[in-house]
Amino acid sequence: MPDSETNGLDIIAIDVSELEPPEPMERILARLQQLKPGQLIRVRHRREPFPIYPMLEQAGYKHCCIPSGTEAFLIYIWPHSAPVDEAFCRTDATKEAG
Amino acid sequence: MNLAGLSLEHTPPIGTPLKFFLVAPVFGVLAGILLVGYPELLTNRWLPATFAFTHLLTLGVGAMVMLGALFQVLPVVSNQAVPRDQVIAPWVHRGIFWGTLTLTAGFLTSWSWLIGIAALLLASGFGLFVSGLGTGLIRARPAGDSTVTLRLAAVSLVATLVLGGMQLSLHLWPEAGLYQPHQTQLHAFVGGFGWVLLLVMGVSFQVIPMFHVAPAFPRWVRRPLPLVVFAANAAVLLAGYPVATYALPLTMVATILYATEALKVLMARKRKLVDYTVRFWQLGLSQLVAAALLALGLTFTEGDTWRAPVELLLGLVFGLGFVLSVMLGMLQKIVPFLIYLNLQRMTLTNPEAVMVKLPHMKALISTERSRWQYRLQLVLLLCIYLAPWAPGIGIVAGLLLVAAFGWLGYCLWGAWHQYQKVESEIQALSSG
Repeated sequence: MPDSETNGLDIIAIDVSELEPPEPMERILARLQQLKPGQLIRVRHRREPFPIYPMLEQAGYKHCCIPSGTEAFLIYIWPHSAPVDEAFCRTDATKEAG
Repeated sequence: MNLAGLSLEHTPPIGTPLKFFLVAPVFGVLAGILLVGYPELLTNRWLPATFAFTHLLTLGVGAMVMLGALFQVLPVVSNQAVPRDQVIAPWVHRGIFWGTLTLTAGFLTSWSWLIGIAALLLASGFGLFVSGLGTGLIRARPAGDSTVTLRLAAVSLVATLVLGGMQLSLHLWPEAGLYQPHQTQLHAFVGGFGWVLLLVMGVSFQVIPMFHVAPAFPRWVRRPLPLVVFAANAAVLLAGYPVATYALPLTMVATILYATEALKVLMARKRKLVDYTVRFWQLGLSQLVAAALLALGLTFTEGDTWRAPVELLLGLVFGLGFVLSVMLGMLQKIVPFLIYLNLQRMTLTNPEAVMVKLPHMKALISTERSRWQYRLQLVLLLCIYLAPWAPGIGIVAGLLLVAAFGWLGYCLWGAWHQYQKVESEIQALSSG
């Protein structure tokens, strides 16, 4: 995705939709630990990972979940300071769906 | 299925369900000891020892695990916690724990005052639980398939308790005329094919796809089938003969349809790894089909000499083959998952604890330990199914029950011990 459309951010995509609990949570948290400035994570999952939301908030991350078809969700996770909002996530999710 | 409806944000502290799970094996061991002492109890369902044995398993093991799980599961399936769960859970636990022990003692001694105390304790424990669960289920919005099924299960639980109370009145207040011999059959029927079956159905619609990366149950299974089971049970209960003759087979056919569809969903899971929770589900569901076929057979045939042991066998296939297998499978998965989730949360909220190495979920109850639990369950079932015809086998079946529940206790307490060890490490780091 060109920088002009991603606010200069680098989107790291991970797919956990075929993993059994708690592997999706493990993958997401492990990837977050490697996140560099200017990066955000886009997670493809078959369900909304509610258990990690409070953890993300306490660890200083924001999130946005966009349903993407039947039993499919795209979850965006970024540091509080990153210039990301819901509109940004929706735009990217639409592109992904297309 | 609306997987977005799954929420774990409002779940209670881990101690709430674990308190129930950890004590359940004790009652199973007691049931095994009782069977060793009275091996003939599996040859006659009307013996006081048989009532004591049955209620040690249904209340002490079954209700203890199911009620503990519901405190955890309700927020997951309906996004609505049991109101004031942390206040009522300890009282529900005490009511069921002491109520089951006194009821067992009451049945064995035939002392009415003990049965009176048991009735009071069980009524208060279940009453508190049903009021909390009922409020949570009424408040749950939107009501998904699992929530609707759990509502039907809760109504069936109330019917089971009322019928059980009416039968206990024989010991406490016989002049009231509430006791009727045939109500014992109805109490067992609505407790099994109403409360327990609907509870398992409602929970399975969520947990099988979630834990095993399996497809969602077909819509015709999630909505109409629980309603058919509930309506047919209500007809058996309220309309009596001859309506019951048609309604009961309807319950059994719906049960077989549910079990076969659940087996198909499990077969279609994406990852075919060795998983003893899946094997326990498969075992339990196959026993559910067998129990429904036995019930159908008993409905459509007549005869006296062979009927009594087959009725006992039906109870064993349903209670130990289906319900116990499913519960054992779920405990192998849910207990490590809850422990892992709680520890993970703790490390994230305590930056100092990042150095603590968390145990892997499979290390909390290892595959090897689950394999032994499964083997014990298979041998137990093979043995106990013969007991209605061969009283001598009762002693072996009792010893196997002690071994199976002893092993379960060892696994659960072992996982809990690991949790406490890591929790104290995290607390030491965050306070230091």
